[in-house]
Amino acid sequence: MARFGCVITGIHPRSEGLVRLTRAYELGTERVTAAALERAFREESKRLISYQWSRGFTVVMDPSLKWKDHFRPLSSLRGLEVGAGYTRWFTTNTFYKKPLVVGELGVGGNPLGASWYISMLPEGRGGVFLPGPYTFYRLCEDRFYGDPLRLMKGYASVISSLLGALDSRRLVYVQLSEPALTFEATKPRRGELEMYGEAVKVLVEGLGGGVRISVHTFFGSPAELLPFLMRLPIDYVGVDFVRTSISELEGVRFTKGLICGFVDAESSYMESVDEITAFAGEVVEALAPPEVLMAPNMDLRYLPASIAEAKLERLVEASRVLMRGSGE
Amino acid sequence: MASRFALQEIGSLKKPLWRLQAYRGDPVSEQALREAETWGQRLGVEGYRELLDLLGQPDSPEKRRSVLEWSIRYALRFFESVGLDRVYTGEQARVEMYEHVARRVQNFEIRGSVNSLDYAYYSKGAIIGRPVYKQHIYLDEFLIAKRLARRPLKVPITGPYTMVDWSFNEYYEGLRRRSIGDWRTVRIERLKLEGRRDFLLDLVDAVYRPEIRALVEAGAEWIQVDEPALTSRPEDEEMRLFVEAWNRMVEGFSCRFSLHNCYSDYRLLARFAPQLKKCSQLALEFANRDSLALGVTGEARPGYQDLRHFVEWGYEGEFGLGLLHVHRYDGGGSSHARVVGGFLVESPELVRDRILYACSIVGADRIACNPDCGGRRMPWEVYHRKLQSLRRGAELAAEVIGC
Repeated sequence: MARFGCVITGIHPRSEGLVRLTRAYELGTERVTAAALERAFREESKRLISYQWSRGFTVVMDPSLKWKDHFRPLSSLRGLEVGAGYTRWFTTNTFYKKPLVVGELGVGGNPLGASWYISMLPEGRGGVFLPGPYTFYRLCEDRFYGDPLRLMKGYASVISSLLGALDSRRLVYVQLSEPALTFEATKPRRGELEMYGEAVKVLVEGLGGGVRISVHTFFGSPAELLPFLMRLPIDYVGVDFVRTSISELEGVRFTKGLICGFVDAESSYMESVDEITAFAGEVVEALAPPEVLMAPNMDLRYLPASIAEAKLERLVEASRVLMRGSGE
Repeated sequence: MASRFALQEIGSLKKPLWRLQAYRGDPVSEQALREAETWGQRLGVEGYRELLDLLGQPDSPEKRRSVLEWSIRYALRFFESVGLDRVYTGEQARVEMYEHVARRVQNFEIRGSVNSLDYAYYSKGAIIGRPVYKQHIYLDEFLIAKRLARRPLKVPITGPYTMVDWSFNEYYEGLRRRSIGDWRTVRIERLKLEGRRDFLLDLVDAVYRPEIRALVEAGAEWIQVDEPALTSRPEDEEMRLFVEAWNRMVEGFSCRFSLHNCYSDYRLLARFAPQLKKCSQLALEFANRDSLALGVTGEARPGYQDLRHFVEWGYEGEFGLGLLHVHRYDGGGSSHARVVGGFLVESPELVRDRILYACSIVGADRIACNPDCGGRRMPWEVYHRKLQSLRRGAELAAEVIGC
């Protein structure tokens, strides 16, 4: 019998209040100081963290509200710069600045600590998202390493050092966001998957045993990759079930927990509790994973905050139904 | 000397503070009044003192309409003062490119703010039934521009593909989702694509064709269809859908059409561009991808390499060459692109080299010069300087080519 739970899987949308404030800050249309903006980010992060905790999310994620894109906070790593131009983030209407690798990656201060509110996360249940080594490698511009393996391992090593410096009582879960693994145009080429495996090992070993790791795939189907992902020293594999049918994955022996990305983060269609539970039932029957965390398929930032939060409510309700059904 | 290269802008221009304050019904600040006076003088806006008087009057619907018209007049003079060959309103009458349409088509409902980049957002809507053309979308703005402009107009409109891509497809997608019978084999993405197709073709037939007809009948000669969402879904099926919708949209109209696209995959667009009927120009962003060094080699001009794909695939129309970066710039700049107030101001020489390199690929007779995209994020002062560089750079390039 699978265990059930729920989790969010990426950057959360900013509330309308925070939208107004950040916009005013950037445009200079109102007097908004950096300190006032920081207070607002802190308050809203606190609210979202409390919400996840009180509603029983399996892991309570930092909502990454300050992250302008998936890479920006990494820019103060040594050896990394931010490109000046904007690049589209996969198929969305959001854009990121390309990381430029200009030297050997290293820790320069602790950029990540200031980008999250780790101290607000509950002890033993906190988590964060980060771009995984493959997605970093595929989307950055490498002007230094000239070798995917060295680049991915270098990134993994630095990330594990940075995460290791954070409060280990609170930070017990890390999601490596890996859309590039499954997006058609960026899928691994010959030999890159094995290199990725080595980078993940570096990261996991660097973190030690106290942190559960999820590799979350989205913007494509991981059907071809699943046997490989099952061999990695990680705890969960995330699947974008908007772009993947259950039947594509049948036949794979699921030895990891499944992050079941069924709630569509790009659609305002409100999945019903019945739909979520019916889907989860089919997933368990077909794939038999030991644990299923129901989730959005990706960052909820593509939705207005009110819709995202309504979807999370359905997710919570569905998870409770599933947990009751499994006798938890 | 006059440039032989046609000069144009893409669409938006930052709304002046006086326009924002007065249109909201707020008192107009001293700073805003000074701005109206300074730019009125500088651009030679006829009768600008009347605007200063107007801004001091109490709020009323008539005042707001007048303020809107004044801001269109200022925008036209702004572009005309630089010497652009084709101008428009700076989209002063539009709250934003997406929302302007969504609020005028029946069965769109705004759902809330969605982040696009950094601290920029747009109000995302949902389609909740078949789209219904209930009022003009762009005609009123065009009629004002036509009356006030001193140069020919190019009318930018937000394209239907982008409207669909940026909207929640509650109606068409919902119909399909509610009929899912087998969770094990369903691929929701597939249902969404089918729903997008129905939405897009309905939007073209029910809304875009009537609006284009109204614009053409009112005298519009050139319509630029802005499709920033194009190529964001890289599947051939999506691109074929776009081509089908475009060709259906333009069929039978006598005006000139062009396509504006930016921050996209031009390798993909190039494959399908030759199939776009009546698409006489592709206005594309390039400066954003380019280096800030002078030079006319491929190495110096990485941003313009993608032009080769259009040649390779046989697109025969013109190119509206994006020559000016339009977003905030975090980098350090260079001696030929200084950072002013957080924005790059390219030198005429850098613009020149970009043009010359593009000429070497597609030929000088197929090039018009423009910024990468609309200028709504930039202060007027910065944008004006950039456009002056554009004009001067085009003149320098024309001198080199000897025309």
